[in-house]
Amino acid sequence: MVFGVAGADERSAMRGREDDAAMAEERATVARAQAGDRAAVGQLLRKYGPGLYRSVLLPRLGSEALAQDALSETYAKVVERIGQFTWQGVGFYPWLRVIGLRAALDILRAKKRLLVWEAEDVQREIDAAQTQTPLEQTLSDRRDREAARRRIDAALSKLHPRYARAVRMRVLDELPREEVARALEVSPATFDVLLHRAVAALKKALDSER
Amino acid sequence: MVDTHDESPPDDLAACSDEERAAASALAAALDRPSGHADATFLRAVALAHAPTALEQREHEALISRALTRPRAADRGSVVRRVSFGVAAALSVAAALALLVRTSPTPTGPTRLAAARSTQALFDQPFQAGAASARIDRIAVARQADLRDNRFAQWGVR
Repeated sequence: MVFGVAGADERSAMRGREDDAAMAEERATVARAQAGDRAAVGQLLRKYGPGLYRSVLLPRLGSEALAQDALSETYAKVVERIGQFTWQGVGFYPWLRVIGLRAALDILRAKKRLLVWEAEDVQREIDAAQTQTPLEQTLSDRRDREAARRRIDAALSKLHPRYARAVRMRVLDELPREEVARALEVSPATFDVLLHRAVAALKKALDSER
Repeated sequence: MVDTHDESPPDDLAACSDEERAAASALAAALDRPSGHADATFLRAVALAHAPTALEQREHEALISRALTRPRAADRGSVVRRVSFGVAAALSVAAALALLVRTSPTPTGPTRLAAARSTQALFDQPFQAGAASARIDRIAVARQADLRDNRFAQWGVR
């Protein structure tokens, strides 16, 4: 369909113009922020912070409190170092994401217990950030979230099927203990033991992926 | 594939010790209320990695507000300096310092970048003429790392 193709081209061109306009606007906001306009800094943080928290910090740190600490540290660094930011035509988000990953890395390095992400994993992500961070935050966020979800799914796929089901139902779907026990056809006390063993197997599976 | 077959079957409670039962019930209790239980914390991290929750707008605004109202490190540094001098001299010196720091684009000092240098340090043994080697690979990896570090340094995120 000729009209369909022309329409798609036109839509694509329009989207391109909108992207250019958005990028120019962001560049102007960054320039104001670098000139000392704190409202402009706030504007950038309001735009990108929630996505950074949800897609990058929270999955990697595994706790709301730690993710908020990392976000707070990230914002402090942005305020401190916005003057050093050099516009490279890729927008503000890739810079913010690397600062966020570094804040997460500092927290992970200080922790001893096993979480889903280890400091070395985040260090690898920082190394890759230079070439692999998409310009578009929506795309970057989706990739970050998919990477986290894939890691859990891959580890669960290595478990005994009943262990995996116990974790999925009780932890991921947040179903009540008694309901999961009924679904697995065991008593609640037996389910507790099953879940306890599933945790040990899951840790082992996650560790084996490193 | 992790071998789970060497472990006790999940429903075989005959192979379950009293210690394991106690640990399992402690975990079950910890999942129902906030606690510092290590395994419950781990499972919470798993859940958040799989389906992260959004940050509440009120909490986000508080974080932004804190960052924007906090004095910059450069400004805090100038306050410390002021104490070292007499009152009259301190005011003028601190004002001059504050002015200098505020107008500087790089408050933490100039960025140090990796410079061009010999590749000799990358090789501890001479290469044999005509034989295959990883020479170019090693140089490329080292220079790629330099480039990445330099970019991060210029971005102010090293």
